[in-house]
Amino acid sequence: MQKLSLLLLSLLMAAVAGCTKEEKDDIYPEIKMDCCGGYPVNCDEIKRGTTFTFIAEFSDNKELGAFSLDIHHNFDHHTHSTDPMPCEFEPVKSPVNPFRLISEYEIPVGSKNYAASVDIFIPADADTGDYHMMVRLTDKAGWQTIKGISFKVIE
Amino acid sequence: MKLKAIAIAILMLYVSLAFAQKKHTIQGTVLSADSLPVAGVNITAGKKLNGTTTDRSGHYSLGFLSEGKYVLSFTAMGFEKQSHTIELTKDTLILIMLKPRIVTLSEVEIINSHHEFRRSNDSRPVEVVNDQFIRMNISGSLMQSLDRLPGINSISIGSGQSKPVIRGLSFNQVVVAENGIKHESQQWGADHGVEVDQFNVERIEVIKGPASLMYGSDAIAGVIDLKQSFLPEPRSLGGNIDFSGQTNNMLGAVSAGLHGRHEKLWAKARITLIDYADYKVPVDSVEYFSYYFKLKDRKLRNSAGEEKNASVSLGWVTDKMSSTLFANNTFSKSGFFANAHGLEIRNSSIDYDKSDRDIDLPYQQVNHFKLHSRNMLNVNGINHQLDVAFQQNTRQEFSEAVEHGYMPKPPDSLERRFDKATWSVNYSVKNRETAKVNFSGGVNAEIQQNQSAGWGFILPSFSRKTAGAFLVAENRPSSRLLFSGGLRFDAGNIRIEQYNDWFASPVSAQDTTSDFKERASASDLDFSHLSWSAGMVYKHQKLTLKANLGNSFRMPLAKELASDGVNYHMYRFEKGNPDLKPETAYQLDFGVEINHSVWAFELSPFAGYFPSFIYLNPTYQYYEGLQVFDYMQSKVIRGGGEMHFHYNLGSKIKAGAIGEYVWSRQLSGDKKGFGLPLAPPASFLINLTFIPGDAGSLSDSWFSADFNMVSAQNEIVPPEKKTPGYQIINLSAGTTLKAGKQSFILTLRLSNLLNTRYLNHTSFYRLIGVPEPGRGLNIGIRIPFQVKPKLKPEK
Repeated sequence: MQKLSLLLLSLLMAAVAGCTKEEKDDIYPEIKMDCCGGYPVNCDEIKRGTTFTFIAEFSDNKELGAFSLDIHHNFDHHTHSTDPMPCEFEPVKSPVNPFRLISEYEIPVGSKNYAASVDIFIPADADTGDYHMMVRLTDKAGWQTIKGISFKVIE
Repeated sequence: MKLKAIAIAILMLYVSLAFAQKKHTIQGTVLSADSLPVAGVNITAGKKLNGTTTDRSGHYSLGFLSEGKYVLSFTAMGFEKQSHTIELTKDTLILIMLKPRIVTLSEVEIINSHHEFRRSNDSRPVEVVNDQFIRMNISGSLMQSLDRLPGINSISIGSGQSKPVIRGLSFNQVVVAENGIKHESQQWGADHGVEVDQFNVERIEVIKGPASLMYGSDAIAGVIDLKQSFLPEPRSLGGNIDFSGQTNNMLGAVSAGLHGRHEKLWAKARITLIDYADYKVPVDSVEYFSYYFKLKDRKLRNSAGEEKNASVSLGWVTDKMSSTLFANNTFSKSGFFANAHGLEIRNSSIDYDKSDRDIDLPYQQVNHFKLHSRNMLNVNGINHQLDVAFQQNTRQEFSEAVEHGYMPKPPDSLERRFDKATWSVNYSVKNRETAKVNFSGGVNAEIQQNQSAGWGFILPSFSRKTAGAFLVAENRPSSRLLFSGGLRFDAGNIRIEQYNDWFASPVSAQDTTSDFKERASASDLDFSHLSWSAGMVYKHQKLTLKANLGNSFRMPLAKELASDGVNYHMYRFEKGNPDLKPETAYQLDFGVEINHSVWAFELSPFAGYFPSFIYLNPTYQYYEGLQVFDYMQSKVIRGGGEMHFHYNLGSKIKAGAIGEYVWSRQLSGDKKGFGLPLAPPASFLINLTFIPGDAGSLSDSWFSADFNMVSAQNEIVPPEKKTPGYQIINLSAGTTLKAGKQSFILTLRLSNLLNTRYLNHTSFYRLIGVPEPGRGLNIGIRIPFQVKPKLKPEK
């Protein structure tokens, strides 16, 4: 009986002791594109056959991890940007030679802030129309923030 | 003096008259359904006569009764009341078998109930509820209806699908069993709900603690055993019809059951049909990132669904043996919220708002068929049991064909299809109940075949074979003490098939040649584990103390071992780990229970340690544009417990409180310092129940109010979000209305009375910010009927 209550007491103590806060990161990293020279922004138009520079500001409370860019056509209007402002879409159409980019990028170890700048070439024979770009950013702890924007590829 | 003489004369006259009239006695024994004597049963024979109670051995005797008609009533806490009309012409012996009435948590009854019997003979925390509890707390699906139990939560997928969480663990760490057979479907899936007809469940036993001894792999957190335990009376034929309606999702349900028994042969059957529309949330739009999904009429687009279930049981019972064949089939089709696919916002040309009742893409469709033969035989006091079962689970998920990443537009809408066939054989033997040490031992074997199809790869095809043998012993050195312990050995093999993408993608960023990439490698892996458990129960008068230490395990899943590809549900890259060891856990459980006549208190703390918890670790890296999650094993400690308190404020008002708390910490690995995903927040529920007593044609009436306070959950792991706390109020009421000989059991439940907007941390749609259903009124009517024997006095 006494032993049992002792065990019980130690169990409760362990539970209380375990509750003491340990330092851990539970804050998502941030992507800023609609400020500070960020490009492209929602509903922008980009000429094919040219190279544009993706510019965004990343930040985290502890340490940034990595980021990826994913550009795919949205001719069937299946995706939507995470931006509250809708863009005007062209009519639905079938892709012939759509532009696609899936790529990962590293961020220097120990960075809390990072100014991303990636040159992206859109071939001259790529389909024009509605495209969608997903920006995915992680911090070292594995928190991921995503941002999606719509843009148009034009002649 | 004169007066005294007259008095004596009258008395003498009375006595002699009485003798002249001939007096009889009624005596007998009252037993529980498990043939154990029930003490303290109140017996009355008509209103004018004094009653009696049974003694310790269940005997009773009513003497000096004149000839005539009597209505004998037997009432005992925790059992269903029985009344018998008898024509007394001679001394009569009546044997009564009481059926357990498992009471609801809000009215815990202490003495002699089956509930208490089951609970106090297990050194782990056990909850037992019956179909009445489900009717009182009815929700869209069974596990949501059980959510109110201390330590039990659910992961709900919309309003009609859910899976259980026991003390913060779910998926393959919880076993759902039906009549003791492990329910095998796609438990690992986040959008999977348990395929069970909640109208067909008669009793539920929940074990919150390691239960690998009986169930082998997977029962780390506990077991939810759904039982069809009710055996019809000899020469009876009856049934019931249930109608249920819910205003929030405009649900309509009808369930009809029939049961009958000749002498030894009995049968039961049930059909259930459920149809529901999109459910309502108390907001006009759902915010996800900075985008707002506008909702039409506050309804969650495409969350409608339907269910069609049928079951038949056939049995043969004698006092030495019983044989039962259970067959059931459940079918469900339910839509997924249309504006997001996993974590991605989705547009569609489908006009979701044209009807709130149609099920458009994306949706899931699941069929589960089960055939189970249970055979029990008593030979010279030794009980043998043989169970053979077959299950076929077919799960399909359909969504609009859309290209993604390197995947071109798929040819059709079949995103995933899983076919799983499971054969199980269990044999167990138990020695005499009267033996000094009660032994039970047995062997189980299970074979699974899993076939995956569809364009959205998530799980390779595989086959799994497992077998185990166990021995459990129980000893009662005194009437106050019970010791139990056991050992079990399991071995298993899993054979995973290779899977290659059906489309080509670049080999790597540098090498742009295309290839049909391998997403699961062929592997053949063996596992084994020795699990054990030891526990004790000490019972003295109003106090019950429990302690249990157990070790349990889980075999790694095919997905955890071999996947190496995109999870098209969450849009992340999941990397399996063929080096995974079985997940093992040690758990220490305590229980303190004090039962007074006016109040009852229960505290069940636990502490657990996982030397090798299998964790899907979110890394910071990207592959093919998606975040990489890899399976790893870490050391984890867990703790927490439940508190349960009841107080009777007079005979008509009962107050109760239930509290639950779980805490966990990863001690090693990449996420050291973090907790575990889908951790239920601490919660505290206060209940007030008013029982007005019988009035006119109304009986068994109750009014109940639950005030549920749930704390915020800030202990999160990627990709979760912190969930704020909330308070909700649920009201319920019920009564039995008697119109002539026909009774109608009515239940009303008003959930989320104040139409509070809140997020449930463990809900499937939590990640995209979809709140829980708003206010809803559920109305249930059960119409029991009896064809035979006719409800009239005999002769």
